[in-house]
Amino acid sequence: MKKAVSTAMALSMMVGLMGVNASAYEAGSYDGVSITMLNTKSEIQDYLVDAAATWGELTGASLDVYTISDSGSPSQEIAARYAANNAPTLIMGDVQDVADICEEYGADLSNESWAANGGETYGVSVDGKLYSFPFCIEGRGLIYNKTAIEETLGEEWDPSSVTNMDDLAALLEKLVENGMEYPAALNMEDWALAGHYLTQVYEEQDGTMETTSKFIDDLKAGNVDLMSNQRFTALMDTFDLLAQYNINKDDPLAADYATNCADLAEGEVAIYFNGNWAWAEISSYIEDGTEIGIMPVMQNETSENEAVNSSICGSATKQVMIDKECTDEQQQAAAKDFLNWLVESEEGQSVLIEQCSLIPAFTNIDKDVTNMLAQSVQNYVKEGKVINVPYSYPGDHWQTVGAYMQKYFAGETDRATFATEIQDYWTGLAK
Amino acid sequence: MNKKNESLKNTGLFLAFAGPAVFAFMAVVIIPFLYGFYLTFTSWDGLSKSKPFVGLANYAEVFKDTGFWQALGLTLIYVVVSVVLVNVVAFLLALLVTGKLRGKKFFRAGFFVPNLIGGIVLGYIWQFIFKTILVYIGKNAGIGFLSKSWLSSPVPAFIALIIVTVWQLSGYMMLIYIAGLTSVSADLREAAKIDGCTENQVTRNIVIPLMRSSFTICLFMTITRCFMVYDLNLALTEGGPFGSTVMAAMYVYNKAFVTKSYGPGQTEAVILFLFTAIIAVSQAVINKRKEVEA
Repeated sequence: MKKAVSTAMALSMMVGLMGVNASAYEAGSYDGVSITMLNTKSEIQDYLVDAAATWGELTGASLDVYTISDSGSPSQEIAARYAANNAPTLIMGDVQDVADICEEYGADLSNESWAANGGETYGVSVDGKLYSFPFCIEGRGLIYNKTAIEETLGEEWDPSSVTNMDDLAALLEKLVENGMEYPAALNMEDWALAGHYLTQVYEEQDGTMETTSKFIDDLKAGNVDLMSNQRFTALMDTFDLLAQYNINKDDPLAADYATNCADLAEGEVAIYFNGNWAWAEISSYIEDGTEIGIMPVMQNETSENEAVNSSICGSATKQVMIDKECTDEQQQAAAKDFLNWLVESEEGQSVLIEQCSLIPAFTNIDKDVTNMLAQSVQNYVKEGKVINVPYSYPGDHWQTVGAYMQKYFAGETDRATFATEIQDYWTGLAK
Repeated sequence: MNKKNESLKNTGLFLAFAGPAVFAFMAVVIIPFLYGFYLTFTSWDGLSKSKPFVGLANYAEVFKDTGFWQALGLTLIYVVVSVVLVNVVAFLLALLVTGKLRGKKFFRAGFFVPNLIGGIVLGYIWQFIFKTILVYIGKNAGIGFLSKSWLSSPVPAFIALIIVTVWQLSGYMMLIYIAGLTSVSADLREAAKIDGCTENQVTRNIVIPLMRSSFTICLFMTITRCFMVYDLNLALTEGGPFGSTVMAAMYVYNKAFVTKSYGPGQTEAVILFLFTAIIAVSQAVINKRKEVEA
């Protein structure tokens, strides 16, 4: 059914397009060229296949989109395909995946039309060359359930009334007084703790790539004392606050991801640290009329970076690279054309935003995303209030440091020990 | 002339029957194994075109990698405990379902079923049991040790792994023990009984010595399977809480594919292989010597 609808949509768009946009994409300009694309967001596979067909009709090229299962990792798929000397033309991967290989295998995309409209801001660049197309933006922060808060408090509530951790603490306390026993939720997964929460410490130092890189170099050199770092202490204070009101407080490491999402959607909890991708789970539990949104992880002591209480951390989480190793010039040109089509044409934009519900990285797209959580993130993107540091962390950071953070979360270690463990992880890498 | 034809014919026959199997075995076991062994001497990252030769540097690095030895040590404890429990439980089950039990065919099938469920699925089922069902029961019935999830502290999580392993493997081993038990001829049992043996004495002095080969097989299989445990480890605990239940195979995988240290990861895989092979084979050789025939 979904497929039938999207095919119908694609067809109707095609018809609509023939008169309008034909000049930009010459019919048959890539006759007989056949290219492939690795899609690592399996939930949008159907839409991408239809989009590929639409674009194929226009240009005469054929684009075969394939995906890997949710449990498969993009980096292994990419490694296997390069080992077989049979890499896909368009490769979608996480930031690290692309950063690892782009200098060796990636085509230079600096001169594409979309590079200036957000491509350079959110894509992966090495030595001034842009290597990837930022496919979508994802932001993380405190997801709030406005409806539940208002029902519990019995009064209007405006998320902008919360401007620092003290406000957040007051809100949580007030919710408890009004009968919501545990108003917060935290995930226990290592990637959520170290990959999403702790990385805010690195990225919010001053919100720029340069400072983050320098900060991490300093960590590797052993020159950082996290316990005296303002962002670390402030973020950990907020973490402790959330942990104190955590619905899984008795046994924090027994938290279940789907249950947390359901609790937020159903108003069992009011505040939940996660990102807009949680909509996939939240949407299956949420009732019509419930209003949710996202706000920054509120902190006290912001003298070193005032922006942290008004901006959320976010970046382009999926990057599309064009291979130059296993593909010829014409295939590369066709692949570039497909990316252009996604950004520049009406129907390409509609694939990204209306069908796939992605938050676009490009300023020339003014369509609004369809789901509440993504809309909330998109508002931050539009206002320029996104701390975007696509730092390429070592592959084992989330797992190793995540284990340390789980220990801290479970009360097995104190903050000073945790800080030392993080510092030791980084200095250990330098050896 | 005739002789030559004969040997040609024999070679032809051999190739026709064993050829495909030999080819497949070479292609999917021997060659990848040798290639993998070669990779331990390179510092390949798993992706790049170049595979720089580094000699024994990876081995030197692995000897300094305390995480690996910890994981291997933990695996060793896991293997010892699980192998003993799996075989004891399997043997007792086999005795039970070969004895005078009503509906023993049903029980045989029932005990075997867990082995048919893949480790990943099984891990998730048990994760749900440990995380949700037991906690629910524990909280409502006021049983202290059940009211917290077993998977959120290191020792209970490790015990949970062993419980699930025993549950999964003992049905399979039971089948092998059943075959062993039934192969001991009834004449011998009867003769022993006439000589005045009790049921227990028959089992201990007649049946067990005669079915030693079953023990050899079962021990070999449980040792190798437990050393290489990965799927269950991944689905049940994911190495958690805080990395405390990472077994050797998972450590090797993470080293190679998450940390992207392919060379050292591959080296650790080879060391794990040697470890497992030495223990499993020497066990088999020792047991084989003790086997007796009627």
